[in-house]
Amino acid sequence: MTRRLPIALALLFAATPARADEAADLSREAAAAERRGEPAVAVERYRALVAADPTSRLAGRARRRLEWLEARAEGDYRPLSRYLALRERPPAERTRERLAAFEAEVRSFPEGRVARESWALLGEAWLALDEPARAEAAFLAWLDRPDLESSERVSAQTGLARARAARAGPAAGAELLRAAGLEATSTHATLTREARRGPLRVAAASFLALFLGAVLFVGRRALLTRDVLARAFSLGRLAAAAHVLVVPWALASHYDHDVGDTFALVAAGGAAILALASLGGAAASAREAPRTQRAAVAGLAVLAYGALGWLALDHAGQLFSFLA
Amino acid sequence: MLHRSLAPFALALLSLLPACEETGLMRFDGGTTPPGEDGGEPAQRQISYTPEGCGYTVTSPELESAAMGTDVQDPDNPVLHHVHASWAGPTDSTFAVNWETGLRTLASRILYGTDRAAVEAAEAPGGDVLGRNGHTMFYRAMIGGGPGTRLHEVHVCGLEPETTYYYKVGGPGRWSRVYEIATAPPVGSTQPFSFGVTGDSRNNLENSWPISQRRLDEAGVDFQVFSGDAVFLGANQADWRQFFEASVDDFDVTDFLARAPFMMANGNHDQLALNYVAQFAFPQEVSEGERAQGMEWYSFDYGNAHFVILNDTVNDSAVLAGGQARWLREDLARVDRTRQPWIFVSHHRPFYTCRSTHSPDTALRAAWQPIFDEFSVDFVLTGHNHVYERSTPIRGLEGGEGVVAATGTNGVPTYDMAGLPSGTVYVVAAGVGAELYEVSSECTTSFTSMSVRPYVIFEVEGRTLTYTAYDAMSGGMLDQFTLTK
Repeated sequence: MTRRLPIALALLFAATPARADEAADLSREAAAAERRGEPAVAVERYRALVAADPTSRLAGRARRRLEWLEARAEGDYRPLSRYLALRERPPAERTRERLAAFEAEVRSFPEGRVARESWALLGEAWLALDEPARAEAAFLAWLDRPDLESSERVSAQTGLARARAARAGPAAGAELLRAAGLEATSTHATLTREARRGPLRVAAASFLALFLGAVLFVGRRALLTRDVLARAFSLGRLAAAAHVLVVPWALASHYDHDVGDTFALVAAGGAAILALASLGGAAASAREAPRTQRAAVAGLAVLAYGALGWLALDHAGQLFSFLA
Repeated sequence: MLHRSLAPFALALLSLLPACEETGLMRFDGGTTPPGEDGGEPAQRQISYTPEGCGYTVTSPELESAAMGTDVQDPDNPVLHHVHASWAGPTDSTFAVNWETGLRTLASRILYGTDRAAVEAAEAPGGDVLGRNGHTMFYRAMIGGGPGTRLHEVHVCGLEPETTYYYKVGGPGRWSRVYEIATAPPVGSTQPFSFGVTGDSRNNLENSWPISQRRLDEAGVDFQVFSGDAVFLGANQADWRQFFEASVDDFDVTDFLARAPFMMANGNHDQLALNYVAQFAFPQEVSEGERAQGMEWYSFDYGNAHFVILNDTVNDSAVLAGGQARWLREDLARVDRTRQPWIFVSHHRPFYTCRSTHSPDTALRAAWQPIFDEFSVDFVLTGHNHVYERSTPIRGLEGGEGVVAATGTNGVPTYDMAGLPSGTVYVVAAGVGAELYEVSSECTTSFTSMSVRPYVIFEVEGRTLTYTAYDAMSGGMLDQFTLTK
């Protein structure tokens, strides 16, 4: 026994690199077969790898791939082969003709994961080609499969809503999700926000215009007189202006310095609003306008500042989850 | 939802407070005894030790208490979850595991071996099953931590390369289920391997975080490089719980994170908070200006590739362009390109990105690109913009802008006789959870881009590399090329 041990160890060491090389060869062949859309060949190679070197790192990967492939063996791997052939193509090669041909094939696929995953792929691919009606049809076909998992149902519904939104507007997409009881999804929040964005832009621009109009109205005839200019700029107002300028700058530079442009706009616009409000207030005082007019200018200045901030963030794409 | 929109301002305010920036924790007054720990001795706030058989030292962050594990189990709370693996030492002979338990559990052990059934049956080391003891940590997070968080960390060393091991963590009487993990090929080996790349999982919109992890698990990748922003607010423990507890159908993200080591860069939302630092084990080699016990930036080798993880959220430009840049240069200078022809770098903020929400970080570009150029880095993997983007190969700067290098078919670099690329490819692949952004391909340095939730798989075998980007939601391929150097 003692004499045999060195021989056994020598054999083991001699065998190990060869076994590792064989495992690497099988792993490479299996991966290539998957890429070519030949899952049956891949399964055979992965099985051989697990048998040849069961404790190796590559065997672990092979077991995982086997599990995935064998869960999609319906139709003797033919549907999977067709699915992989489309999935593994770059988007530019997923043309309308290819998608239409694949869609015709999918209709004949047996029940199972591959059919479901094929409809998901088709829905997204049609959406990417700006074909929302065909995308809707694909997502509906996915939803119609009797064996959907719960996460798939949510994905199919949200895909359908995005397709509906692309065809009929974000409100229609959001309504579809509301009807399906999926108001808590982020897609519903996004579509709702999109639906409100247009009216809110108009409202924000209106506040800014209203504020400018109010300043001109209360300060009419007195707005740019030397007396008003002198009255408008007190130490307190300069301090407020500095605050309006510095806070957005500090937020930008400390939180995220590459959103500087957005916050610079908020800072500059905020200072301009403050200056206009000061001028308007001083002009109103100079012509002894009613206090209510001065209060209205002050109130509109606050609203205008909020509107400016909203428009700046909206323009920069950084206004998320605010309205839904 | 309103609190989400205010969070950037909360982040900004947090970052304005230097004392809080690195903590994300309540201040410990030293007057109370952490749950489960004997009140006889004052709690130790930090622990530093060399795990058995490891050639490196592990140092915990400074928190409410840190101690070597015992066999104590929380009698009232049997929970043991968030099991996830990473590397703090050589990838071909070590791995580290972190997990969370009930507050009074101090057991921080691991049982492991190559025989799954033996590990499943074992209650203690013996026969083919080996054991190691780790350390335990306790803290009360500034936000969302409830009565506190009890973490455990254990390091296993002295393993055989290229081998699948099975392990379970916990302690006598209460063990996790058995997970498997594989060691890497030896450094310089040409054995094939693959890894996944994702980022910006925060918020888990459309449940895309667990969906992406399930797809990477099914692909069988060996490990994952994550470019930052795991959570919305790094100091919020509730966000970390959401990160670790995400699931889709019968798949939990820890099914994958416990098997495939997770190597992460700090993102602006992670804030280098202690919650983050305490919950992960990465290589710890403190260099000039580095915080987080040396985990702020680090590198590791896997087979014939070298990986560098950087922290670009440093407010101090002297560190960004000084200490960290010097460390980067020294680290890359040590790489023997004949044995490790591939170099990958990952950090959070892209400095090549085209008309998306965040502009290219030109200060970062000026600080780091000359070093990437000098050492012919192959790929730079980033996030921050929640899109998919791949640049043309880039080498050199003119007026602060990147110069497009010699480009082969499908936008890939060309290679010289030494196998060095004509330029570095800059990838933005993030948004498996965060809100999607718009993006353009119309910049000179941009090769392709899409507003999708992407993940990327690199398959490396010797001097050949296959790169494939996928849409996590549909599973469809977005981009692919193969390189041979």
